[in-house]
Amino acid sequence: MNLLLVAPLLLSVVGGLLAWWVPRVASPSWCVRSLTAALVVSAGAIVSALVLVAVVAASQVHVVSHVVHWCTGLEPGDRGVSLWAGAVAVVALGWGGVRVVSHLRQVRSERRRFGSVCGVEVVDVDGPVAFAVPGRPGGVVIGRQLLSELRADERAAVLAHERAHLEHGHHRFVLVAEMCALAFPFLAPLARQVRFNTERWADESAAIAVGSRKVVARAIVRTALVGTPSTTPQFGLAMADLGAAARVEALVRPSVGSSWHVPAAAIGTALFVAGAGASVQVHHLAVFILHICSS
Amino acid sequence: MRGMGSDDRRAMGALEAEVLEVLWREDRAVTPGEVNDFLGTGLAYTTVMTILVRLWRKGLVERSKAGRAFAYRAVVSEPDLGAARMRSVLEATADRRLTMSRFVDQLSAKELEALRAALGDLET
Repeated sequence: MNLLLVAPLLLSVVGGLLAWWVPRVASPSWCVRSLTAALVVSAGAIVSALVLVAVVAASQVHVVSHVVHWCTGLEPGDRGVSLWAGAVAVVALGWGGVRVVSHLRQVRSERRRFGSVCGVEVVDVDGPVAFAVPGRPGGVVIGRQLLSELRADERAAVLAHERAHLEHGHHRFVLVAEMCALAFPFLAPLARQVRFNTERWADESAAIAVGSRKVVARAIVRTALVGTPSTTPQFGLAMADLGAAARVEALVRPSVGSSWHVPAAAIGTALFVAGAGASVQVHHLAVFILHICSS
Repeated sequence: MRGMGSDDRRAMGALEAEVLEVLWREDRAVTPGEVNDFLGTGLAYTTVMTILVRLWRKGLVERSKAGRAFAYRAVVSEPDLGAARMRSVLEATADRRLTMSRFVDQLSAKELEALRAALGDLET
């Protein structure tokens, strides 16, 4: 029982450490991949733990035990989990589920509204408007004011950046990460790192495409100075340490050789995955032992 | 004749950005052949032509006769550039929230100050 509560806590602590550590040793593309994998595994582990708590608790209710009697692991009178813990698990699952579903619905309706975007579209709007529209056909939307204030090489950098988002399917990583964070808010730091590193990944791709890190940095700065976006983000994405300034610094700072970085990230991910997997296993074991002992 | 499949359409959307990126980078009139060389992806000449014509129709590039073919150059401040055509996108742009990756997110005043200073260094 205690383990059930401790496992998610451990996951969040390890996840927080990972969010701090991986970006320091891995390239942005590996950060995105490994952190997304870590998010999915920990969300999966927590869901499975919550479902088991709910089911085991529910099995104490006579009506439910009658329905699930075919499952030998769940017998009436199993005192492994108290009813209130089951109720908490059900509420947590339901709350997360509702948030994920409503986010998905919102994403879908927003994508539909941009369905007419095909290739590059310039819109008559002020502010730092430049974003990629994933999907079929998909493309890039750029505001006219931004375009007119950027130099030619900076415009190319912005376009190369957005094209990298489309080419590498960054929206999928961001969507998955955000769903995990919505279901389990303590995963939010990891999800924020995923989003930030998709931007870094696209910055690096753009630097290669235009042949200059400096031009990309200049494009970011000039875009930031064009004004503030017309809309406010729903929740804190514009973390002070995860914004344009951090991206500019990463671009201007001479890149370090990264031969050992990728293996380090891979090992970190493997450890995290193993840890998360193990916590689920331990939980199963605990339930099993409790069952044996009580019967 | 078979219509364009959704994969073709998607490829078209991505290619358009790629071609425009070349034109913005070069900042001069470029022939379709040159564009193809810059892309270096071995596209069919007709594909590059199709994309350039699409960009031209959208008002994103202008063209001029260069020998037997047209040469294309990026346009930036045309007054009516695509604006009316994309009214639906414009409306969606105004209240889009989180799902599209923005090039730059909202910044604090302090961050803006730091960036303004950084721009000075970058332009030297």
